[in-house]
Amino acid sequence: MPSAGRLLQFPSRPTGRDEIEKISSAYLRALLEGERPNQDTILESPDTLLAIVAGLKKSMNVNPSLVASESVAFYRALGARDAFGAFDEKDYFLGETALLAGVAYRILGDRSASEVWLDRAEAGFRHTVNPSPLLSCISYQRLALRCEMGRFDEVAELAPLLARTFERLKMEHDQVKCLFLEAAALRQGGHPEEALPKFHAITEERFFDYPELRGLAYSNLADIHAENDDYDSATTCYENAIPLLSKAQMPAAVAHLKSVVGDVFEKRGKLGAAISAYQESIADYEALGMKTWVAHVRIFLANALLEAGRAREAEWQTLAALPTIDDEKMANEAVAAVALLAKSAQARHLDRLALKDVRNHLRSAR
Amino acid sequence: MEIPEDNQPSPQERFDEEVTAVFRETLGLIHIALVSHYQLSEQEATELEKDLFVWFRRFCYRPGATVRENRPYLLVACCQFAREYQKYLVGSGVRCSDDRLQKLLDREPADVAHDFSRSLQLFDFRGSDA
Repeated sequence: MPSAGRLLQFPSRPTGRDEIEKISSAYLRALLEGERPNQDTILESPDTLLAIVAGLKKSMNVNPSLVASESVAFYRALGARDAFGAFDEKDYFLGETALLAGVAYRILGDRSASEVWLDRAEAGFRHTVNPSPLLSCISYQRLALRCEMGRFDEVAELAPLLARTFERLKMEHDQVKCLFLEAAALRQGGHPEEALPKFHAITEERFFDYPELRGLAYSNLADIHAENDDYDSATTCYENAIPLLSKAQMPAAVAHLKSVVGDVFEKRGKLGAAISAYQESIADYEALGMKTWVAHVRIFLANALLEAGRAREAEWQTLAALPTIDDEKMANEAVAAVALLAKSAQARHLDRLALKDVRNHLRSAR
Repeated sequence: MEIPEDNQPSPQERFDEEVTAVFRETLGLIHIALVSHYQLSEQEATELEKDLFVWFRRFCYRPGATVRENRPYLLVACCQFAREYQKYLVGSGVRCSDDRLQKLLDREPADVAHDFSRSLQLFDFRGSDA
């Protein structure tokens, strides 16, 4: 019989499950320890790459920088090969690695890089056997990007439509993610009262398997209560959120929670506690490489420092935050305030009003 | 007697068992497609079936469908595999093609698989009837 392998790129026989587990665990462990393991070994077996991709997905919230660099490297290595795996698997893994990169860059706050990687993911997934669920996952990421760019009305309109697609595909987790995104868009778009029942629905016990979404819903409920000066309810929600987010290994969400707790302390006039909470949040975000969020919380911290009479430190925080705010267009609707703030920081006399304007703008976009 | 917990299959083992079961159920139809329709020899069909199983097992990890719901996609892959294989042999002059095979090779594998999927539905219907 002629060699079918030359034509169809048949896969090698599957490696044993134990061996796959061993290889992928060793690879991910080496990555986390700062080594650069050889990707060529992984690319010998689609089964092993499948396990690595699953491992990278789990690491997304803990180490998005690492996931971004690894998935980009895998994408490039796969792209350089004539073939990989069987049938549609080269396109599938190109799509998966590009999607991982797109999500990681979104979390890191590099929106333009995220968009390009999501386009690459789409190009890969389009050629797979059953593209609809995979493309729907990309649609979700694009909606999340829109939400981060402040296009809340669009997200509130489109998220339920995507949720229906996920319902048809029996992808419950993604369906609940859409509900969360809709609620987040409603809240940030100035309709917190409409967002409340949606967040409450996500916290229900029937979604026990999704601690990350339940934790985030509690975190948002806490934010809404805090905005309404209902600090007791806010505190209860924070207390519910923290164990869920820790269980789900979501350090970015915990970092966010710390910034919100800082905000609550600041509103109550407890400036020392607020400053500590903000500093912890910044340290967490820095460790995760999430530069837009670092800049975001620095402005909050600057305001608290200024209120506490620590003007010099407030200037440092402001000067550290401004380049990212500018580069990532984080305050497009407060350009004048940003310009005034930059000028005053350089002159070592912070404009309190401009700082408050920028902070309020960032708060509304949070 | 209470069965010790250690003897329970893990979710991973249950998944593997389901993939194997669904593949076995579809194997008859796959074999007919490969041998009777795409005119592969028994030996060629057996080799392709092994590779198809390896692909299908990984495919079932993708989101959006249960293992059982993935059967139509298994048939699409089967037809695509067989078509490319035969096209290569016919194109390189190793094998001659007759009109029936040529018509099949000219059709999109997804369309051919769609026809086979109807047979799957018929099998399911008969199964539920029994």
